Amino acid sequence: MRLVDAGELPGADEPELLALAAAGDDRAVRALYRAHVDRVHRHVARVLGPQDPDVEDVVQKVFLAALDGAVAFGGRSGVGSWLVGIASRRALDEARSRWRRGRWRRITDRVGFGRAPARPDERTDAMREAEDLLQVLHPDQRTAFVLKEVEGHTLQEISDMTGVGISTLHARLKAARKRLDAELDRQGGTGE
Amino acid sequence: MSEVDRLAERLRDAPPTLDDVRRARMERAIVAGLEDVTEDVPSGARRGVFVAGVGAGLAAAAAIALVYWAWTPHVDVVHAPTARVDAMRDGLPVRSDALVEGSTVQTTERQLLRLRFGDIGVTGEPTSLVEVSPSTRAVFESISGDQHQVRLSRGDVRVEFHPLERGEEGFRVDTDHARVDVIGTVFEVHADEHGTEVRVHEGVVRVTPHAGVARLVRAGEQTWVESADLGALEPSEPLDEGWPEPRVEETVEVGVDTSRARALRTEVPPEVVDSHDDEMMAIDEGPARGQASVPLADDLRFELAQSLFDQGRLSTARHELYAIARTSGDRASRARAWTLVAETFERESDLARAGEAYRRAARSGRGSGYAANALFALARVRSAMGDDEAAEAAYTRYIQVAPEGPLANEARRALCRLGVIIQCAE
Repeated sequence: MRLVDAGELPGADEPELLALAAAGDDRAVRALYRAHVDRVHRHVARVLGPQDPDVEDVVQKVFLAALDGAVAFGGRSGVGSWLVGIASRRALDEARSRWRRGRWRRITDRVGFGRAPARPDERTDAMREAEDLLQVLHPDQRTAFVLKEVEGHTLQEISDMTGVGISTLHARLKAARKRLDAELDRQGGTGE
Repeated sequence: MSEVDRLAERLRDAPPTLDDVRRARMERAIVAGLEDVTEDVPSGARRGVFVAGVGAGLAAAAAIALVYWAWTPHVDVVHAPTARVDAMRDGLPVRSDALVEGSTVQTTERQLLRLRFGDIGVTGEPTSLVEVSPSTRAVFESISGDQHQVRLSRGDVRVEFHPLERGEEGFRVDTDHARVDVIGTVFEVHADEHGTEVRVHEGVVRVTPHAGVARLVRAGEQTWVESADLGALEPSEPLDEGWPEPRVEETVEVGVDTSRARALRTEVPPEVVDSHDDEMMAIDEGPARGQASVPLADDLRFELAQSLFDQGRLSTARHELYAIARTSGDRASRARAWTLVAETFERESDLARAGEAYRRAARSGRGSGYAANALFALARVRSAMGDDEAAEAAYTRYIQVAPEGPLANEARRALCRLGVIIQCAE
């Protein structure tokens, strides 16, 4: 059970690496993980929120699910895109479940009780504000927005990753932009 | 550009980042998780039977539990977490007992303690080993569950941490100056009134000064934390002096302050073993050693060390060998032990330490065959390191002590190659 260096796996391309990793080769698992963890983590963190304590858990589940279902990798896209697709679905599952659980909190926030107002000096970080804004979106809309507008994928790529039709994605994206516009207007209007 | 586009741009410009500690923690969890999956998942063909069996089993277990609960008097038993602790003298255990979580351990200048944590009974092997060196005070604040925690007030502790559940278990050492977080590793922490020193032998630790920024210290590096900052990283000292360096020369008296539950109370009668100083060179003069109260035959220790060596557990093997090297009354055994220590370092491609251990083998076993062979090996290692002068000296010395030895001709040929012997036979 000791940690070992990933070491080099000469000659192994990505699909081979995935197959080796799925077969239980520690070095391949580590090499695969190290090659893609940043991208997967970034995606999961954007969907769930960077400060979310479950980000690590979801990232781990993404890799374990990928290794468990490596036979499903068809090679139509790169391993990285395939992993991001899994990450999208896993993060979405988590975010949807949380969204359902958080309904009551959102209602109380909206009507003005249940959450103490933040002090101005805690909210000056522009990045934090941007991340928080994403959290007002439904997870489906948030994922579409992040993949398209932030990560720069095409709708076709997003469709391949998530298994959601292009027209549905288009609708979610439009809804996301509308919702964010409204939220930005509201914040501007309230002087935040 | 709309407000929403500007928002997307802000998010693009500052992506969420992943620090090294979290990255390593997840990697360990994934590798461990994969092993669990491959070991635990029942096959698809058997899944139906498995589920059905679980259902029937649960029903039966519930019925039995109900009956048991109804007939059994209820007593709340709280099991305080414990660790096994061995009091050591000259590298040999002289007393074993349990140490309860929350206990304070304080050693004098002649004491050495070795504590083993983890599911020893389940796996046969501890997940953590902490060696508390002489003149050390440490509180074992948590020795169970997923987090092991030691507060080191002064002195040295050496930690070997090999969690069963990678990514889910942590080990932490707190000092007055810093916090050291561990990710499956072997490391030493020294604390005194001036600061804290951390030396890492395997893996990675994160050192966070109480006033300063966190920094990762990797294998082969060491760092010094003063009251307000982190010292520059530097390579570890060239020779692992065989830590723990048992400055245990005369007696062992184990005193453990226990603020809670069971105390470890061990009193070993004073017994004069040797009055030499605490330097490694004292090994050379060891006729009076070998008076441990729990004698363990050298042969058994060699067997154990060889087994560990074969398993690739080189660091643990070295510990056993160091014990022999320091305690055996037999020069040949000491030389053999140092020779094997050298071989562990050679296996790790650490020629400098291997050479040093061979040198000790040669000195500690003067007159034995092992010592002569160690001279030859020393010469070979020095030659591989490009130090021809040292190699020449060692080959020459070998020929002097074993002119008819099995490696004498080889040594002469080597001296020919080095140009020391002019008239060389073809």
